[in-house]
Amino acid sequence: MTRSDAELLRAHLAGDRAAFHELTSRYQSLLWPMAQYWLRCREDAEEAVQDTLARAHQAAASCRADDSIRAWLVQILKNICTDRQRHNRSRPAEPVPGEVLEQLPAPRNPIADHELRMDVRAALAELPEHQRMVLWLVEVHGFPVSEVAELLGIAVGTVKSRGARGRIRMSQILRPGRPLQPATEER
Amino acid sequence: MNELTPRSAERPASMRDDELSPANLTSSELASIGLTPDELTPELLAALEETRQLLAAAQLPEPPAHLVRRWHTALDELPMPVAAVPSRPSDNPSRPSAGRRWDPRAHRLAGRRSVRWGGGLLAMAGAAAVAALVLPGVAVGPAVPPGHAVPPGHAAAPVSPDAPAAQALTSKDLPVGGQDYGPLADPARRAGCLARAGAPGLSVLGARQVSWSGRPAVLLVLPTEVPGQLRMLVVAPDCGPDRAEVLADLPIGR
Repeated sequence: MTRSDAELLRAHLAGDRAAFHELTSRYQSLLWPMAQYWLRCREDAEEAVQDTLARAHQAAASCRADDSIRAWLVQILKNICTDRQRHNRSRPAEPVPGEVLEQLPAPRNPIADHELRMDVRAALAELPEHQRMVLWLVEVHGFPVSEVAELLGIAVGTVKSRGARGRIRMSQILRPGRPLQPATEER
Repeated sequence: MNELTPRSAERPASMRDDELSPANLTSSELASIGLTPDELTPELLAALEETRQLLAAAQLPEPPAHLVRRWHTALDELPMPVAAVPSRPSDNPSRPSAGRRWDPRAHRLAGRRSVRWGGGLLAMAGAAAVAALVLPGVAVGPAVPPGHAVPPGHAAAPVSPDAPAAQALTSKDLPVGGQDYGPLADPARRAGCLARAGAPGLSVLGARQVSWSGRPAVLLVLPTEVPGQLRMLVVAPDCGPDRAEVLADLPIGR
């Protein structure tokens, strides 16, 4: 039987070493691109995720039962990335090679999507990063818009406009020839 | 005010919860992306819904396998956390709430070297200078009955605050800093012993081989979450991941 996040955290606190590994496996695919997005340096992102997991491992008791463990982990990552960004301001960062989400695999039902000439991965990769991140968090991971606004430090309206614009653009990429073209460009 | 576009009533149910759909944006939000309500044709909304579903069905990209291995190896090297007192929820989720502090820099090279603890624990041990210690062989009423083997999955062994041990002797007998682990010299075995004995992940402040009520034993001094208080754990020499016979488990100090 699959254990819930909360059950895994409790088991971890009770000394079950495997429990935290299982929890980590659920969220590493969320934390990794976010760290790259925030830090724009692959090595820093690697360390930030490692630090996040280690800090969560040690501070697991501070996660209240009614907290979303996903949001708790992302908040820890954000704090660590913010600290690291401050530290990095005094030294140049090595940019992330390629796009953060380039590795997004094809949809699970390739037959149904066969008619689409370009897959979701490629379409996402063509979006500006700020639109892609919003779509990735809201559409792929299911974060509420308000939570994304808080995480990214932008207004709710900005999340909506970036997401809507990103989705329109993706739709155009997936089905070329669609007439609609958003007129304005913003970050 | 959340002014919905006139077409909102025509949307299918799945679209009404879709926070990013242009159909759910206000007129001003629509204008910010260069659209007017009249441009939200059913064809466009259907196409956007199709895109949303594709995204929702997308598999999550996994980090490179070598990174995952490194992260998990680093986790394996960490001591297990101390369960915090639930009455003091942390307002800052990124800060450990247990009595010791985790230093991320110590783990930056995790997988290549072991965890090291800073001076905090030693300072805490110093704060327990008023603590008394029961010398091996002195008859006391241990909190855990002698010969008690802690079963698998056992949580923290209870430490009795009424145990007479704390009043017995002076702190000079406390083996803080001692490394006389004897049969528990192997860190992996020692960690397994601690976990089985109800002290998972705790850092050992000191150790000494002793004779406990005529039996050979290993005395371990452990931290607690109470400032100035230490925990004395006496285990049988065969203590390990599979078996932990706890001979005594007592609080030392206030």
